[in-house]
Amino acid sequence: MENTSKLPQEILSAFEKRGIFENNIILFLKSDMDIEFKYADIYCVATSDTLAVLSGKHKVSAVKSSFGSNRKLSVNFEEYSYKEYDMKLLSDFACDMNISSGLFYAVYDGEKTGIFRFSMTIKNKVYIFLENVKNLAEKGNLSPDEIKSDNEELCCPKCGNRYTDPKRKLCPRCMDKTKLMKRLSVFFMKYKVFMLISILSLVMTTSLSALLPYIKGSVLYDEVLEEGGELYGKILYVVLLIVATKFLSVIASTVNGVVTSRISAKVVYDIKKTVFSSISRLSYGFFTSRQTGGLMTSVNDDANSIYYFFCDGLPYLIINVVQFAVITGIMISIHPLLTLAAFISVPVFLILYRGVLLLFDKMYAKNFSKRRSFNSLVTDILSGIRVVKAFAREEAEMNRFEKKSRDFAESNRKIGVLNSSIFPFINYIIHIGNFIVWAYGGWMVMQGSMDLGLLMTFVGYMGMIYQPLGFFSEISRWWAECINAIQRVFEILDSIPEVEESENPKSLDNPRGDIVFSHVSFGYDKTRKTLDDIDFSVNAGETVGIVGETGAGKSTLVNLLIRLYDVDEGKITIDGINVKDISFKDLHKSVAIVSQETYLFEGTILENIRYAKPEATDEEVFEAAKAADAHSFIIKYPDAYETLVGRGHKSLSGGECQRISIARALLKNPKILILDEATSAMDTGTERRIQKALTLMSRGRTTIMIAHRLSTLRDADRIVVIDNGKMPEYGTHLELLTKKGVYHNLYKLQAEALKSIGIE
Amino acid sequence: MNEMLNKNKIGDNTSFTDIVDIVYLTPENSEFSVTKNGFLMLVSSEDVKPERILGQEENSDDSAPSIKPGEAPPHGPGPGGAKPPFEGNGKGHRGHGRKPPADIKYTADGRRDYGRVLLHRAFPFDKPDNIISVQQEDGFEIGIIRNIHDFDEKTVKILEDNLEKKYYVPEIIKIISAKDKFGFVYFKCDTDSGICEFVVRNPFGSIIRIDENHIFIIDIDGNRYSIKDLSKLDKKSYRKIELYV
Repeated sequence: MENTSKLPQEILSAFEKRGIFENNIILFLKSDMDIEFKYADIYCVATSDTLAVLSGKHKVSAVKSSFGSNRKLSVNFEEYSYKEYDMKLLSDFACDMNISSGLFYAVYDGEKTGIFRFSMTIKNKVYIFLENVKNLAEKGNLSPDEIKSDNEELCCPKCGNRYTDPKRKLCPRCMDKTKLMKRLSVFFMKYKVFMLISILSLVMTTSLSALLPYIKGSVLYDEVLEEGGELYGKILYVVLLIVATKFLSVIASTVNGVVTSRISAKVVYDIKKTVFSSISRLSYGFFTSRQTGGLMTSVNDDANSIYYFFCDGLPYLIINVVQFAVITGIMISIHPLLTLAAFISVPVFLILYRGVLLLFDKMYAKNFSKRRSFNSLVTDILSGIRVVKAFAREEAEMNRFEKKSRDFAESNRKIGVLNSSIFPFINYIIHIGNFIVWAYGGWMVMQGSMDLGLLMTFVGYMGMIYQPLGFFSEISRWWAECINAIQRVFEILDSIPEVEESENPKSLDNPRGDIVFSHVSFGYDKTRKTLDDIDFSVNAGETVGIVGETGAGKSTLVNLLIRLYDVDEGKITIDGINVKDISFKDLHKSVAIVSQETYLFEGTILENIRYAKPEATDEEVFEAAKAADAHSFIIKYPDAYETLVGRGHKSLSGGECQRISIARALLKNPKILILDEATSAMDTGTERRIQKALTLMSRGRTTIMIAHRLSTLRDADRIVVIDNGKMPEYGTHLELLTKKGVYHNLYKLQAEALKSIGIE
Repeated sequence: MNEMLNKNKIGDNTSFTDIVDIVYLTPENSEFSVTKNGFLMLVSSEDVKPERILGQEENSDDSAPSIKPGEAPPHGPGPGGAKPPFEGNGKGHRGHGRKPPADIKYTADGRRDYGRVLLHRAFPFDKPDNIISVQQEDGFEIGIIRNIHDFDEKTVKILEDNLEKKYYVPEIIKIISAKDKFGFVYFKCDTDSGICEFVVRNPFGSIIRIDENHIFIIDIDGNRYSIKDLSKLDKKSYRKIELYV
């Protein structure tokens, strides 16, 4: 029986009214869409003899979340409909996946009947429910440990908002921002002396520049140029003072610049290093999933955003706040009324500035998407140039290019035009304040109630309040961007790998190589089992072939064995030890894979072969290459084993890559060898030769060989047939042929194909 | 080999359409119906007989599913009818995909009863009524409907209803709010299915433009929401989404 405490009281009582009591409920599910495609709260419960569906809507908040959560449930449940099905008359439960919704249905009294719909949001829950219901219908009752549960909480329990990734349970809204900052400060604390110097030099630059208007104004006009002033006639003295102040200011800002660039490089380096090391710790699934794949690309930019905020943004914020406060204070002390006049245009300026920023935001976002689509087109055409040429599509591509390029240029033009037309206007607005000050101040000077020098000082300071104002309007955006970046960075740092090494890993020192797949089931996605109840064993030293159509799940088997993913049900053992308990190091040391896709890293062929065993000598590499029949083509290159391959260098053909990959595996000399279509891209002659090497190599090793060409598998001790995720057949070549099943058919098809081209 | 080439006249100016065999479902060979609970059913004449790649004639030992050179294609006119099976040509044809279910049921009058079938549009945006793949529940393709309007009105209604359900996507009537938080956009919208909330990751990649005014929004779970005509959206709503389209 499932934990019914998740069902709200009013729902329980609604069922109770119809004779379904809480302690009879074995399974339940809350769906979010009714049979008419309307969002609703649908409760489906199953007892040992009834399946009941209650549809309605919780009336608590004005809005119902479509996320299928149990949040904010109220006493008010407005019922729309209720249906009950006799469990005995129900059979063949199934789900249809449509484009944006699903239908849960079953055969009821001989007739297919839709029971409820659901949105994609809860499809995993529905599929688990489906399995449970099937099980219940079959057995009549289920004990708690027979019920598959899903622990996937879709919403944050704190704020009720949707998790952006339920697996990681990280709510961006509820994330403690101060905590984030604290964690982040670790990166910066290492450089606190430098940070201090940076801030001090900034303060110095600012105070020196605040001093200048005073010297240029009051001192110059009232003391030097005015008869009777304390420094009357000492013009050289004042000029020297100005020069000295300027000089000091230049020194301070140079120090600031140098220090900042030093920390900058280091902090960014630290962040990237930390992120990268935690990325490599993550499971394979993290990289292939749609949801997280995008995270990777942003790491680079994010480190920069964080840096800019802390090394540029934060110090400037402090400076600007201080500057603004001090200067406003000075201005008020000089003349409060005049200060008021100076601030008249400030609100207008602020409103305008904000508006302009928003406008630019939009334009930059558009510009960004135009640039991206332009760039991707260019990459697309250049990578596919062979196809473009082969189909003589140069002109069409040129047109496509021209259109995107024009769009992009147009968007750049718009931004440029706006940029150069709007800022002079804003400047003009600022100057309106200036004009008022000039007029009012000039009048006061003429009246004799104010010194000219003082007015000049005032005007000088007035020019200095706009910069902080402009900065303040931008800092909030900067802050948002930075928090955003921090959040993404920590999201990666905090991700828990789906496949984790056991806490007390067992070592696999000298493995024999017995492999057992025992009732293994697995699905990349809960809605579909990629592998279903696979059960076979390979004795140490044996060779087992795996055959099946493309997409049948053959490579998935291998992914499970080397723990790129973990099995959902059943277990895989090597020498009787569950692979989940074996240390990663030992597991990967004992298994080598030659797969259909080979990746060559940038470097020499030598380095690439040696990748599997860095301590291998040159002779060993050469011998491995020879055994893999790679030597014959490598030696033809001018630089032989030291030919550079990988991005931007010599590109090798598919067959050549595979041979290098085989050499890698041979060099590693593992106890378990997996050949995943290892020879698929080779010509028949080469394949023969390599096959010989592989056959020799597989002696004394456990070998799993995945192949399309059945001829490759002739020597296998036994053959596993995988068909649509299931394992219909398992046995020797002869056994399977006499069985006249899937293998027999495949074999005949291939034989026929050979016959048709004259090979018997 | 040459023999085969000649047979199929590849050497001539024949188009490849002459050598490929497609099972078209027409009013003559197929009858669609719908159960009282809205499930689509198909009964076809014997000549709608998609060839299975594997084990199709499992009871006979010496059957060779592939076409041998020089041999007549495996499917001649069906046992029940004199007319050639599928629109115009009578060559062998293949369904795609996997093995078929074990047995084919027949109706009392000797027609093939495929039971429940599913429809899938080949061009869901451009030509929603043309080239509809008709599949069995396991995804095996039985044949193609060239254009649903080839059928009589009643059938058209049945097919349209079925397609509509399969392709149902809530239509956004009003965007109540769209908040950008940490790279995700939290939408709250009024749709023809009722009010809903959803989250979109990377709006520039998840909002897909079908044509000038028609867009799709795909949320983090893969749910789709459509706006058929952006220009008809009220101003406030439009402003909330403008940035991303």
